[in-house]
Amino acid sequence: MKKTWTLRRQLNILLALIVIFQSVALVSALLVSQVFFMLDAEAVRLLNNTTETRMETFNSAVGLMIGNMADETQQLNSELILLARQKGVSPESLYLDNGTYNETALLASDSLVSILKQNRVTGAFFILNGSNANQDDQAAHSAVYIRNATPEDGETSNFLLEIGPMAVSKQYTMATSIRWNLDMRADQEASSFDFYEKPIWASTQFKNSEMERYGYWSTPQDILKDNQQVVCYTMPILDENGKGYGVMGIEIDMPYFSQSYLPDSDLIYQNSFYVIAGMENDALDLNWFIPSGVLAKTYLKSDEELRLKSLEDDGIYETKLDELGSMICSVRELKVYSGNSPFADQNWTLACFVPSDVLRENSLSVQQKLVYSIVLTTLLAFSAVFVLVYFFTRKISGVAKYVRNLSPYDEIHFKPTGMLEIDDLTSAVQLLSQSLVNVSKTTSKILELSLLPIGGYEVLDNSKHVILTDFLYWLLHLDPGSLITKEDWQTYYEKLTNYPMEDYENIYGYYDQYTEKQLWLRILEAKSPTGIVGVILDVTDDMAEKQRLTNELDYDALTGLLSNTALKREVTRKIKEAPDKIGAMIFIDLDNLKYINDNFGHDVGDRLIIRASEIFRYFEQYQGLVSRISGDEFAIYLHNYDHQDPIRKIVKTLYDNEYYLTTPDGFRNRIRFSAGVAWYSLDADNVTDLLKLSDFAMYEAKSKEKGRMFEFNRKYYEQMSYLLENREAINRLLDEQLIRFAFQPIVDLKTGEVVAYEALMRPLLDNFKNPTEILAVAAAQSKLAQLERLIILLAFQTIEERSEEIGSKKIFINSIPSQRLNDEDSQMIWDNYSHHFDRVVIEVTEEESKDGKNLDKKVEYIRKSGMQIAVDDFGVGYSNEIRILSLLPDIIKIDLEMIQGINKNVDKQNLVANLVSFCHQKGVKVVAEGIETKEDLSTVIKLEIDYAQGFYLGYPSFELAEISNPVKEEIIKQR
Amino acid sequence: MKRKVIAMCIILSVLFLLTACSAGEKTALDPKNPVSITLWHYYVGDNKIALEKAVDQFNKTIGSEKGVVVSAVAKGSIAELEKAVTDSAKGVINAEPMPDLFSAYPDKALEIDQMGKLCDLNDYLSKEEKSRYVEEFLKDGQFDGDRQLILPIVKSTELLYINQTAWNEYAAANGVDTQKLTTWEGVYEAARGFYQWTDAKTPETAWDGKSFMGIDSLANYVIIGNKQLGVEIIDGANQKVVLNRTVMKKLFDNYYGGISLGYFNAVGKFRSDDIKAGDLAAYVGSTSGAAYFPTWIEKNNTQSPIDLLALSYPVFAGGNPDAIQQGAGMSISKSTPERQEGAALFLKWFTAEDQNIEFAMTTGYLPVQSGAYENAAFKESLESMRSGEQSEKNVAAVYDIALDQIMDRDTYASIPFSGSYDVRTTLEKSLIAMAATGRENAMVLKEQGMTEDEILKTLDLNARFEEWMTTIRNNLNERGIVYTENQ
Repeated sequence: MKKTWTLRRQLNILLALIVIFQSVALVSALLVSQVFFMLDAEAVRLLNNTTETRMETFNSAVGLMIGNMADETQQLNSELILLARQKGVSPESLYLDNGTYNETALLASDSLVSILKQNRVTGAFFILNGSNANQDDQAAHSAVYIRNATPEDGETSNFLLEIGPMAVSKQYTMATSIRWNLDMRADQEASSFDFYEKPIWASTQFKNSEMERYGYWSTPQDILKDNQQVVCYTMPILDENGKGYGVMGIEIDMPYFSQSYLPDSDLIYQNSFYVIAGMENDALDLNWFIPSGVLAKTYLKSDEELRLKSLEDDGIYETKLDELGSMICSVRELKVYSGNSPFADQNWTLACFVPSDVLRENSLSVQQKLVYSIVLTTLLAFSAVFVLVYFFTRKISGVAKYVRNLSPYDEIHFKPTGMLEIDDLTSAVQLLSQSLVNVSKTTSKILELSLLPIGGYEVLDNSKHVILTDFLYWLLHLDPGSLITKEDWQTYYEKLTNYPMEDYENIYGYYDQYTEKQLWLRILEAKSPTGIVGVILDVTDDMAEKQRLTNELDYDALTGLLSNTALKREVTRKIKEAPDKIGAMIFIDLDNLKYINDNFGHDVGDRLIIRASEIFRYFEQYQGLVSRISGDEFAIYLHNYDHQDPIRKIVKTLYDNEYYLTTPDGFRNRIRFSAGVAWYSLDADNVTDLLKLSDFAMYEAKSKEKGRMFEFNRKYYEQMSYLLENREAINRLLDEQLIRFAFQPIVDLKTGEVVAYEALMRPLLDNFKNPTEILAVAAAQSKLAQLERLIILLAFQTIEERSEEIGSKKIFINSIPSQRLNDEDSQMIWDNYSHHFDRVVIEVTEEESKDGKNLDKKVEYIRKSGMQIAVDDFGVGYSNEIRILSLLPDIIKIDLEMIQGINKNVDKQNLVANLVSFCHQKGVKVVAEGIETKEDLSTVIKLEIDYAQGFYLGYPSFELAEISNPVKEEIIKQR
Repeated sequence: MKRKVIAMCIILSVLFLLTACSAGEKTALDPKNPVSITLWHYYVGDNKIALEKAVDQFNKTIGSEKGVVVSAVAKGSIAELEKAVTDSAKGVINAEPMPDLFSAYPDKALEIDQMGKLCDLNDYLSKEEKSRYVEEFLKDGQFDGDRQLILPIVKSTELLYINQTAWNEYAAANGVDTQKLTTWEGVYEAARGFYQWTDAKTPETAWDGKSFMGIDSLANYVIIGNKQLGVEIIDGANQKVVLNRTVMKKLFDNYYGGISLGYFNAVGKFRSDDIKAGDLAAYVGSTSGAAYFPTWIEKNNTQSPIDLLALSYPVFAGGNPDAIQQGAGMSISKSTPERQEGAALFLKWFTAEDQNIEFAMTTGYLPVQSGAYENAAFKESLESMRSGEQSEKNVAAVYDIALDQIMDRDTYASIPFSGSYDVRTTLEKSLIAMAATGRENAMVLKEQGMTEDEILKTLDLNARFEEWMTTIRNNLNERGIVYTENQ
């Protein structure tokens, strides 16, 4: 789906994109041009310059000092040689004599003072090869050691005599120090006296060389044991032969070295510092180092090696210091020795450390500021875009807003926007709108002319008014074209839809009060994107037609009573209207319609029905719904009662009267009817169930006491319901022949052989639990004849199929005594199965044999066919000997009631003995039914009963089972 | 839409405001951007080293924490320091920039303050912090009511140092005891006795007696001598110099006579140097020089051991036993807020008990916080010094006298006024010059074979005194310092 966006949004996005593109282009330009890299490189170059300058300054200061030292030393050398000559001693023994030594010391102190005045050093000293004060002490050296606390000015009064004779102190009014001494002692560790030994050693290496070549720098150490680390530079005192017998040196203490030679003020960077140390293989050896200040002392770890990583630029390294992080380090080797010095390999390197983030601060800050300004300008550009676009599109959205708020009845008039395209568009819209108005008018007209009673309306979400077509104005009796507000329309709409027709969707009854006419309207609504559209069609004519048709369906043509369907509908309606009330469904069946029909024909039957309907209209005065269900069945429904008793009273009154129908023979026949009542809502809550249950109650009445009314009895219903419920099942069973036979052996008590089987009907439908239920349902449904036909036909069919198995054994078939096959069927059996007749025994029961006529005919038929007859269940019910006589059966089957427990019951034994003797006299064989115990079997054998059947002898089975051998032997044994 | 635009504008302007404003600051110091403080001091030798160590420690600890780096510059002597500070304050061509922090005596501080170059330290000290200092010491740095221009660093007093070895020899031979040394008159006599006794050792050589006595600070000698005799020569209260002729004559005669006749002497830079050279046997000097008093002296180019006898400062007969109380403190010059604060931070740290005791005890100064005197570490180190090496025992002996003077006797520090510093110089220089001339003249007279009395007579002490007074008056007039003269 393509998105539609407002012009404002599109413009905003377009311009915003341009702004973003510009910013991105700017950023890329900055990146490509490597501006920041250049700034960084510049910072590194500046750092390199600083270090370079410091190195040069240092080198020249040191160079000058060395030069001066060399001059002074050489001068002192010659002075001392002269002095020694004057005194007639060798220079090496100048220290021995007090006077000579004092002169030596004074000469030396002249040189020392001169050195102190000319150079920026904190001390100068002169050490001889032996001690004047302690001549025996080899480690002691006479020395003059003068310190100057203020190297910047050479005021001798500030000098402090650390070591030397008082003569020197007096000579220069020079204070003596706390540790003032006469000698310097070499009894320190070997290396720490290097400032004395090294230059003398150097002088032995290169005889008669220039003095500068012998100079030696000692690394920081506490020479005077006063907690002051100093760096010394010493030169040898030589005799005429160039043999060293002492040194002259200067010291620079650490604080002054830092202040004067490595001033932090050089460094414009925060947290940066200088250090002088030896450097080898890209590592600063911090065994000794001269720090420029507290930072260097804090962050550099003495006695460790600080590894440096070389970067692109010459002399630039990178390293890491604990707290300061990454450091950029600019490195220059200092020139403290001349090239030919034996100590030239001692490396003194000046390193300047600057934290890399500080060094790159400039570029970072420029970068940051650039980012800020880019972001800021972008934001400003965005806001400008939004504001400008807003003003630009305001006119256009104004037009849109104007159109949105237009009512269809308004005349359209656009304000010119001053934009040519937009104004063209608006005038086009104006034209279009005009033609639309015309079109809509035309449509309305056409509808009107079509004479269809149809109208439409539209309810728009964003409009206060509702649009109606002319028809609706007419329908609602409104002035055509008047404005209808949504609220008004709501009222009209409710009126129109107040009475929806049941069973007819979207049709509403509407009573037009002006014309006092009942109208029916079909109202259809549909949601549209902007609201609701609806169509109203007047369907009054259609509805009238429909109602007429409905009437015909609702009433029974013969009696004018409600039809079955109508009853159901109306009852449902009544229940729905007052669900909390009590109602009664009265099911009535005329008792004698069949008789009238049979005897006087259907016309008279119809009269009976009409007469009955008139009688039952009695209920109409109680707002009863009276209907004819079918044939002679009527149903009446009474509702809106609070108790059952008033209804009972009403029904009783009906029964209190007697009703008659005079038949063409002039006889007044009493009209009797049986009735059943089922209660709403006690027994059922819907019309279908009410009908079913009241029908059942009626059935009960009919079966128990014809011509009476029975109320529905749930207990009874639960017992008998299958009768009703299996009405369909019995039909199915009959139609589809859903039964088969099980065979229970009947044993000859003389031989122990199976002589016959009783074919027992077994339903193939789950609805029936046993044959008795089939019989009961069939009886209730008057289907016994069909059942009998089925049993007999199927039995013969089975015998035919299994004739080989059966062999000569007999098959007992249970027939229904009251029923007999019709002639056609009888003939069919005769034709097909007559060859089996000799092995068939038809059992009839006593109790069913009431319809004497049928039974007689049946017996006659059986006899004629050659089949045998057995009386079943003999000894219970209606049994009497007369009956047996009249039947002349071949076999009597003594009911299990008589047989079970016979071994203990003398009465039964006597009765059965009598019966057996009677039967045997008449030539009737006796079968004992229900043998289930060994004892009963023995007893019946003793009583000389011919045959026996029962579970002890064999269960009914679909197979033709034989008796088990033990039982068989048992029987034989008894004989 | 209009509302959105307005809202956007408001948000943007708030953002601007937020970036423009930064959090309010309580301190001007920033550890990331440390301020560099220059300190000028007059300490030399071990004091200098001790101060440099302290500065180092400060820079490494609290300094790096708060963003202060102090660099200490030695300016040699007090005089040089003061000259440099004055030059810087005045803006003399080629003068160094004004240090942030410098050692100062009250007189000089007052002078610099009048140029509007000093900070009032009250701005950096809470009441509670001030209460830690010995009130009297703190007061020495207060001017114009309660402007605290100097914070005391260490204090000292003066006492009498004696080469006990030499004294014992003399005392035993002449039957004198140290009681004689309690008065200036006694000292003069002892010095004469000592000279004559040593002179007599070599009868073949005349006038080769040894000087006994030296005075380190003649200005103090004049001021405290006046005070002992009831005169405040530098009358700070009245902003003038009081010249009491009687008292001044006594002081003049004592010193001029002593020097001229060789009983007193001054050869080296300090009198302790004279002791080392064997040129003197006693001197009055500051406790701060205690460590400089040697355990041996140079005798014929070898070391000859000596002991120290420390005694209270001598009193003129009939005078009040006043002793000088002195000591430079430090002042902070006006600069930027962060430098001033950094300097104050260092000062407070440096004068806190622990640092102060350590620094003071390097040479024999007295700490400035009252708590220090009760401080266990202070007492402990005194105790260990008493039983330590000879040099330590010496310092301990000096402390015993000094503490006694400070705690139990009257100590005095003149209240300065504008120009009073020059008064000190004038007094000292003029007396030195007079005495030097007197000695030269006496040498000539000695050659002529005069006796000591004849020499004194010839030198004419009265006339010389008038000469001295005239010099003083001229000097004071020249400097426009008000003075009164009385009998």
